[in-house]
Amino acid sequence: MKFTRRTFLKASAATGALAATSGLIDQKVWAQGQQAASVEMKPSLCNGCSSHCGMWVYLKNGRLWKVAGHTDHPRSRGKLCARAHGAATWLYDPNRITRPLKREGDKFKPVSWEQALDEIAVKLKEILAKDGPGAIFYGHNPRETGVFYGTRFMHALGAPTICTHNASCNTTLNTGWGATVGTTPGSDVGGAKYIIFIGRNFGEGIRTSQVTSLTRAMEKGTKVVCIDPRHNATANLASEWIPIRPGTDLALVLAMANVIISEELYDMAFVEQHTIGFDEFRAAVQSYTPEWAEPITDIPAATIYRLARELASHKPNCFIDPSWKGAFGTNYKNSSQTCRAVACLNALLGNMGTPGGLTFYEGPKFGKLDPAKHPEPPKPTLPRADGAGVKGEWPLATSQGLPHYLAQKAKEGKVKAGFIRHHNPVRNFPDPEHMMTGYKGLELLVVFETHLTETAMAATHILPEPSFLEREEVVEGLAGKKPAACLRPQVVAKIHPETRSFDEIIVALAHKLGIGQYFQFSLEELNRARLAPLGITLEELRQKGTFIGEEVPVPEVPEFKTPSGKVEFYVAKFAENGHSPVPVWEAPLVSPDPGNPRSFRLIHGKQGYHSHTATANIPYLLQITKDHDAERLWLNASRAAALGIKDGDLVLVKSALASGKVRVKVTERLHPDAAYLPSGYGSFSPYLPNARGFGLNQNDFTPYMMEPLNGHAMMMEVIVEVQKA
Amino acid sequence: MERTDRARASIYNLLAELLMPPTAENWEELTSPGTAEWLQSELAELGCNLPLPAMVGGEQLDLAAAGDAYYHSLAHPLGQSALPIESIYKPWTTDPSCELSIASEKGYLGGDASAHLADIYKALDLAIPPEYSHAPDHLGLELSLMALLVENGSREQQSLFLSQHLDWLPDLLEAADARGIHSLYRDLLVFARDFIAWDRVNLAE
Amino acid sequence: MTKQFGFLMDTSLCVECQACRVACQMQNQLPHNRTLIRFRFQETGSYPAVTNHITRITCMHCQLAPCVKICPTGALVKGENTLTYLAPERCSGCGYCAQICPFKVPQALDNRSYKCMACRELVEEGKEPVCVSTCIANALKFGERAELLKSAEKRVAALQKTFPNAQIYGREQMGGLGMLLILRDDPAVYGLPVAPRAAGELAFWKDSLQPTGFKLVGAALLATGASYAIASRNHRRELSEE
Ligand code: SF4
Ligand code: SF4
Ligand code: SF4
Repeated sequence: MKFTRRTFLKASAATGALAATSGLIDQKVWAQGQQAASVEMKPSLCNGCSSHCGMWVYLKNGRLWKVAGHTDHPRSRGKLCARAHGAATWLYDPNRITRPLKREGDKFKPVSWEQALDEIAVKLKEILAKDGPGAIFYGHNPRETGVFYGTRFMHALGAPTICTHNASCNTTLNTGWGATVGTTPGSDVGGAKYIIFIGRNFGEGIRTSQVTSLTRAMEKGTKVVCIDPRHNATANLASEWIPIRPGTDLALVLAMANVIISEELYDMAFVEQHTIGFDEFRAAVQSYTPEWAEPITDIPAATIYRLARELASHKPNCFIDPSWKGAFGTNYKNSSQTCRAVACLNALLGNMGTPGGLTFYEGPKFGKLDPAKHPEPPKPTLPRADGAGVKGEWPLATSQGLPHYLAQKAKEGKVKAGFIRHHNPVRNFPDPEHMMTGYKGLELLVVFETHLTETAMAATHILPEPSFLEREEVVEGLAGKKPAACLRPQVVAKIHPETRSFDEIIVALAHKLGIGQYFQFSLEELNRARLAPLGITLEELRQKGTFIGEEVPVPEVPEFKTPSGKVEFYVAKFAENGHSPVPVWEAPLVSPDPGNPRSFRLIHGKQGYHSHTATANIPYLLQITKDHDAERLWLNASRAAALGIKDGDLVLVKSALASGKVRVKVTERLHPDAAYLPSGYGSFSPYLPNARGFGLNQNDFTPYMMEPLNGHAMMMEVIVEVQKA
Repeated sequence: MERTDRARASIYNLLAELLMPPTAENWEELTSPGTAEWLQSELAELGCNLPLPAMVGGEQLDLAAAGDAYYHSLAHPLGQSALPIESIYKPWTTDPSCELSIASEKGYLGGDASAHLADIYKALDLAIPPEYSHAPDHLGLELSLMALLVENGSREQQSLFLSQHLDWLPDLLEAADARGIHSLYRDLLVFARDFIAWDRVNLAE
Repeated sequence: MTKQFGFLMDTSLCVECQACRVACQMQNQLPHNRTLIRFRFQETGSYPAVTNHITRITCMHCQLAPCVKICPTGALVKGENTLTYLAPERCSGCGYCAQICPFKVPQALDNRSYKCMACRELVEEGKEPVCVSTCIANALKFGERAELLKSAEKRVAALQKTFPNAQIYGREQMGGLGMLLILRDDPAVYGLPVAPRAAGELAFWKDSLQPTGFKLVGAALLATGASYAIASRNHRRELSEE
């Protein structure tokens, strides 16, 4: 031998074994043996979207073999959507982050865990000493493991700023529903006789069991009305589609309330006994007649009368869906008040907790770690860096926080360090340049991820997590008539040895930062403590995946967690902060120019086979888009004709911020004011090779803004010009 | 062992060394003129007249530059380089019972090749470095195993292994060209591909 | 007599979520760019009174299936339950089924035919095909055809209140389809032929063939017939080599 060898294969008995096992080297012989092996099933929770549907993972010879819905799980009820099958392939995706990375300029260099964690700890200590814990934030898409470990870590540091993605999603629901009835309720689709969706789209913003119960109800005769500027996939099956001018849902709801009150169609006993501020509300909506709403909403007054009367005639087995992002998520300047109005209109129907009405279920009562052995860190008392809940800043913003405002604070040098997990604010908030400049300017940005997203591109350090099938997580709960406890156990061995789960990393960091005393327990101990009161062991839950508890009796009328304990038509704290205490009409911030045939409001929405930009890189799901040209911009047929645009034409879309080219779907299924873009495309990370540069993303066109009431991102307050390219 | 087999095993081992991340332990030695001379004479002994890869004895890269070139050419995990892992270039499994969408797709880790090699290592009681647990079918490991088969196995086993496993270098080269990898590594892959092709013919004779 | 089994798709309930497509790709080990389930969308009416008609383009499981008749290798066969099965390992990829199918369902690619496999193994175990068990919107059902027809009639009666043209498709076509569709409008709107017939230049001589045999008779075969004979001979050679 001429050179020094490292000898990658450390042999011992090789010679003899080779002779003895003649078939071993032959892959054909080996494959026959493999085929004969049996398939085993283990439970997990899907990660295709944040619903975490229960699923069964089939394994053969330790390899992933198939995924299927878990029948016990309340969110899947045995069914998985397309994304679930796609997301399972992340396990073997060669484009995953496999080692800790450190950014040097715009390059990422692999570093050891020791080096990464040391550097993070040193920098963080320096920032803590210099600027204090107020200059640090944590951002995530809140799921149990991130909530438990992330919150405890931040509290141990004395840092109050914990944000979620919701300011780009549905934080308005927490504001509107929270102020009115104390929480965002669910809805009893199966028991309802009449359902109105305003912007909510079960067919494309999928949680599988919701779709299943909706179509079951429809087969039994439930009437479903879809109000949306776009004839979406739920409108496909709805009894009726009523297009509305985007951004004017508030006017419609106020006018419906006007009809229901003036014609005395509301549930008087409920209003009498369980609400406050009805008189102020009645007075406020008095002038909002359907005739008034017609020119604003573009819905004929007669239709508004009919809708109001039909809805009320089915009370209390009916509802306007509490919604998600749809019409009154974080889209318009009036979204918080629209949500308030929807909550008030439901209250008029007396449908709180009734069959076929709104539901107020709670989750399971989990146990806690022994406080004597594992004292909780004190809750930080400093004001939040994003001003959420802070007097003089954003007093009515929810604790879900304001990640886009943090980018601004970072630019101003008031925020120095961030930790981000399972969340891509740089791509999924408006104005990527604003977000990127802010986040990239941080002295320390630690991103926990499996893939190198746009936000990870801004990181100083990227810490690789194993995929969701390779790690055990914190037991999570689901609210319901029978509350459920669900677990995502580790079902396959870690593929990449250098990946570490979030809880492991947080504990290691905590020790380096001198707050290790708060983390003297293992994930397993934590899960045991949580399960202790429920009557199921961790071992059993690892086998079953989903545990359905006993039915919890609910009061006939739910307890409303509002200051008055009642449904509040009138919200005092809104008045105290200079906002209308009862919902009143407020126009959207911007509107298309009626004199300009190229001027449109850019609206966006989900497709059933993508979860925002998180799934666009998965070949199976991206191919669906390609086969259907589904990344196209929708334009109303008559508007398109006026511009000489034909189906399939390439157009230029332009706002003050950006311009981009995309092909058009010319359709009768869209309000003439709107241009609709599906929200899952336009990734720009070079490390997402399939998704990069495919399609356009609405956030490129929309400026960084904050809604005056709770600070959300107002993602549909943007006017674009569209012309043939 | 015959003199020619010893030469073949050594060349497979040399390629294995060169196609794993460079280290201080042997980088200078591997690329030195001495190694080039030796390789030249082994090839001559075998009657295999392939031009030497430029990395050996030719153009010199210092260790740091070599590490960088290796990382960006063959080890960057994020779709930026041509990962030298067999599973990526083969359909994921041939087992018809698999109901995973990627079953017949190329481009994924953990395929049949990977599982088969893991099983071979286990049966032969061979330990692989922990950083390769995701890729028992890494080119470096496969070349090492081939050397071991030359030293300890039958010619039939060697032939099988070359035709069933070490048959994906043309695809790797295609991926390498699509991504534009470092020319010295490209050149080395060409040498490895051609040497394997030569050896297949050699074994068939 | 064996019972006729079949599918029923209520096109009025589909939310185009594509879960069935991906589940089918998994079941049949298809790469991301091959699918046995395609969709057709058609809008009718004009804003705001518009309907979006959705239908899947998948095998209709004709009772009198021209594809089965013409298949030279016996890759396409009728199961006892009257579903049309495809055995890709017997398929030579000649593409005759693609040409003759009245619904343009099979795709001849990669030297084989791609069409619905009717989840043969699952069905023979008494389970539902995977698209049916996957469908999150209850738009797909599987069972005895007679039962499906009954439930379809009820549903159509209900739909007719809003959509006067609502109807069942597949009752008679091609001897009765194993894939029944509930439509909200005339078949033409969905791109479905009211009176489907075996298509293409192959159609005129199909009746001279036996379903699985290789009896090529008569002068009618001409050029097409010759290539047909070659296709089946090639294929038999491949099989015997194995
Ligand atoms: S809705 Fe679909 S992607 Fe989301 S968790 Fe359920 S199965 Fe997975
Ligand atoms: S639809 Fe086409 S492929 Fe299916 S049975 Fe009929 S002829 Fe054959
Ligand atoms: S799974 Fe059902 S609802 Fe979804 S696309 Fe298929 S048929 Fe339509």
